[in-house]
Amino acid sequence: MSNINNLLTNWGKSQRQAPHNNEVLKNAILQQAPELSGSTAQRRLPWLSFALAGFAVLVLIFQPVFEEPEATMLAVRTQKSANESVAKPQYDRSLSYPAYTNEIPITDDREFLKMNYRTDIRTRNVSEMSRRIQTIIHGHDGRIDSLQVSPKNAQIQFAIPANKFEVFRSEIESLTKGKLISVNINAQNLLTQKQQIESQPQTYERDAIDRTFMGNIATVNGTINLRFVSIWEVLELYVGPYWLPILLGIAAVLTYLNRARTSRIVLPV
Amino acid sequence: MQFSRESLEKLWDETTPKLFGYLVNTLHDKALAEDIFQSTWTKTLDALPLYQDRGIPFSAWLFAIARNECKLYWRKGNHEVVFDAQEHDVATEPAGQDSLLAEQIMSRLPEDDRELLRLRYIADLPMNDIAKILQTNSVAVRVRIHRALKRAHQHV
Repeated sequence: MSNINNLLTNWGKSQRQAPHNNEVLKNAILQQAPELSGSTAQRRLPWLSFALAGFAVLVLIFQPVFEEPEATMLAVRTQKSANESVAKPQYDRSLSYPAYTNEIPITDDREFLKMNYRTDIRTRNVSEMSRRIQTIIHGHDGRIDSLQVSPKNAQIQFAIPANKFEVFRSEIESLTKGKLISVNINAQNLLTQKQQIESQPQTYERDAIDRTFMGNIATVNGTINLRFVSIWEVLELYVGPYWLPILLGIAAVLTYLNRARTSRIVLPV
Repeated sequence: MQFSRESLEKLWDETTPKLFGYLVNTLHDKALAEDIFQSTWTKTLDALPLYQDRGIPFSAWLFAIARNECKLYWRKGNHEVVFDAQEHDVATEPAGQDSLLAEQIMSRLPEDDRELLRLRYIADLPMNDIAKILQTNSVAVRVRIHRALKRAHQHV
């Protein structure tokens, strides 16, 4: 192939020639040319590409910093007294055990963990996802305590046996992709409650309270919130905060390339 | 883009051997090639104020006009003249063996291939400019030239 290429290159060179009256033709034709000093049509600039690129830069500069929500949050705390209301989840990624106070001696290292589970799921089909979650809850011998479903939002409050919680949890969290789910697990050690029960004289009533207490420990209460997610939100989650400038940048390059591709030679009539 | 007399003279000197060589090889008639060459330049200069440098070099524009002039000539009922080495002695210098071989190979190729190879080897135009002249894309031109060379190679 390189031989034929060389052959044709030499042949092409040998074919080049000027007309025998080249200088005469050149003077005659170029003299006829009207207004040689005039300028030709102005080059049209790719304004659309410039505009898109400029917009991309502006968005990049003025876009607020995006913070990705924490995917999983887990907090454990020790309840100080039986009357204290259920603590709100601690937004701490690490598993933290607050220091025991003087009221609870360290010699008592028993754990009566009461788990609370809260999940926020963003989905494109709220009602379908809600049905699937209800099925999973029932499939793990759970109980639905409250249910609110609308086309854009849903909230399911439930209780589930603690021994089935891990399997239940993994099943729930496999329903959607990582960035569309936010999990918050709150565990409280109800040791003070237990100690208070134990400090009472051993009666039939105390046994009943203890059974209720242990039943409470053996139950995980949870809330699953569902929220409709738009395409833009999905883009922001997966492509990141810079998806708009990236998109605009790509559009600018494409329009520029398309302009170069579609530029045609305009032949004179 | 500004065209002064000097810049046009420069363009003339740069493009004439290629353009005239291309026309002679296409038309197989020196006198006719001269006529088309003149009309090409006349039309080009008349249309100079309309020329827009939108990624299309002047030489590509000139060759596009020349091709169009050849088509207009053939459309008027003047059929393309089949090359005959006896009848059309177009070489300015005695042809070497390689040149004769190349001419033989070219004569066996289809017209589309010949046109591509003329634009590539006589006009010495880059792929992008050939694509603009043929109103296609440079990848298609690259592929077509590759295939034309393959066919040419079979005739060596």
